[in-house]
Amino acid sequence: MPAAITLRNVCKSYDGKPAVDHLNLTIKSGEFFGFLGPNGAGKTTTLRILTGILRPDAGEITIDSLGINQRQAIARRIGLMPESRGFYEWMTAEEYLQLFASLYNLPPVRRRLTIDDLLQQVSLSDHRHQRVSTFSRGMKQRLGLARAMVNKPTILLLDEPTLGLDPQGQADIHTLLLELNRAGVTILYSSHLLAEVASLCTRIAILHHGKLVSEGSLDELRHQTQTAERYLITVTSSPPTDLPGVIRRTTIANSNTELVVGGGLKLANSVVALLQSKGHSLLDFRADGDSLTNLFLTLTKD
Amino acid sequence: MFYPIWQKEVRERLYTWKGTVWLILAALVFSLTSYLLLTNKELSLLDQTELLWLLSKIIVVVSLVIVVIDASLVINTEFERETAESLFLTPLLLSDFVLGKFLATMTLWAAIFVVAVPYMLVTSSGTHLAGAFIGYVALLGTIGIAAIVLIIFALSFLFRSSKNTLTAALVLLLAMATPALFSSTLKNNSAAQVLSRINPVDNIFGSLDNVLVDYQQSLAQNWHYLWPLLVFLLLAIILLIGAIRRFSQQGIIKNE
Repeated sequence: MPAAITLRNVCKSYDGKPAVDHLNLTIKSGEFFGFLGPNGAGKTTTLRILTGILRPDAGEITIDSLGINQRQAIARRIGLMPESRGFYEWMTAEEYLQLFASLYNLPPVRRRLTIDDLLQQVSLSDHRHQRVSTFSRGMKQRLGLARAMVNKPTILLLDEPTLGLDPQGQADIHTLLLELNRAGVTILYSSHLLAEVASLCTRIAILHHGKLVSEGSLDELRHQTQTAERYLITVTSSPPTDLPGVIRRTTIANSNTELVVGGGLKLANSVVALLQSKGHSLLDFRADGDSLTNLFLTLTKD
Repeated sequence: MFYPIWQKEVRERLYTWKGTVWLILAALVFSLTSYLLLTNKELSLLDQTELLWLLSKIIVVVSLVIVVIDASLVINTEFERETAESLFLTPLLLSDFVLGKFLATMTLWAAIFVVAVPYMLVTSSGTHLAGAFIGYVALLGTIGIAAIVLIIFALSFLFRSSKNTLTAALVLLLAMATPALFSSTLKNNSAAQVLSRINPVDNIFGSLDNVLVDYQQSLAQNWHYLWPLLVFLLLAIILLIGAIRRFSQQGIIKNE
């Protein structure tokens, strides 16, 4: 697969303090790439450098084979949902998207169709004539995402896109992003929500103090850090006694049983099948956030 | 590409209190001035041409104050409200951004001028000066205000702060308006004469005096007032280009 984004020895410092330190990264076309790191790790700075609104001190960047100096050509290919989400509060949602569609020079007919489609995708069709000042934080997040997609970008850069959203809102955004990725859009997803990145992204880069500390699939990162992969299974009724020896922890709460299973996804699936065959109703089955936290903490330890 | 920015700015002024309040304030000042000029016993003893010159100066000063305040805030609020980042993620050029903002500020001046026209017509009735009065206020006001707006935009890019820009712009306005208020006696001093010669506000007032009081209405007769204004405009353009270049080199988002 060709590279959508390439960074070679990119450096950026603020008052002599490095924010991005010799960053090397290649994101392939069509990838759903996660960008993880604690606050101040350099994620937002990197995204701003990629869009051309912040100049790197050194390094080479290509986006879809274009040099970073070709800002206008790059702007037509990428969409960014920035961390800072200033809105023209006096505008309606439709007027806001109209402004950006006109800045991308979309013809009026296409502009209207695109805006209708985007408002539908982010579930704001019913609020199109409502002023942005009346929107909740979650609605503004969705409007910001719609704005990032006005130009139908081939590369979408997202900086904490689900921050402040309720679980349903988060799930809606995830579904939309997965659909876009399936349609071929390369996504660079910056977040500090480990479980979110783990569930969405095929590859992950972890940044710390502006440096790339690790990069790869979740399995590769676990292997690098020797962090065990664990899954949480929640079933109704009392704990079963005759399960294979993979149970790491059993917690009984609210008459439900929570099991922590190590040893990989295959084994966890077999435990689920066994539990169901014994008549236990499955309430939840997901990657254990604690194990991801351990992985993250191991990699970002000073 | 500047058109969406100009359109947004004009609509923002219509939607929010900004534009409307400024126009109402301007209309109130013009109404009060015209009323006093026409009805006050002492003021109404003034020759009508002097009266027109006084009104023209008030129109220029009120417009300058309003436009200076507006122009000082129009660039940096985009950065302070964090809306600039989204704008510059599009193919929008910095030059188009500046042009859109500049035209929007000049639209505000145009709106103030339109509000002033009826007052100019009423006060100049019975004279043959209405055309020259309106024409020269439009011409001199547009050149002077355009130059000052461009300087304020340059300050905005240099300071990257609307508060600092506003303070500097008001000081600049005061510095330019003060020599214009020197009495004729003070202007006998050579330093004051030089200041008066290069000061755009002074040149605007001088030209209006020439047109309305001395009846010298051709452009040739006002050239010695016009060329310093045009030079001032040219210098303002050069300053703005320099400020934009520096701003671009630093990056649209400042180092944090």
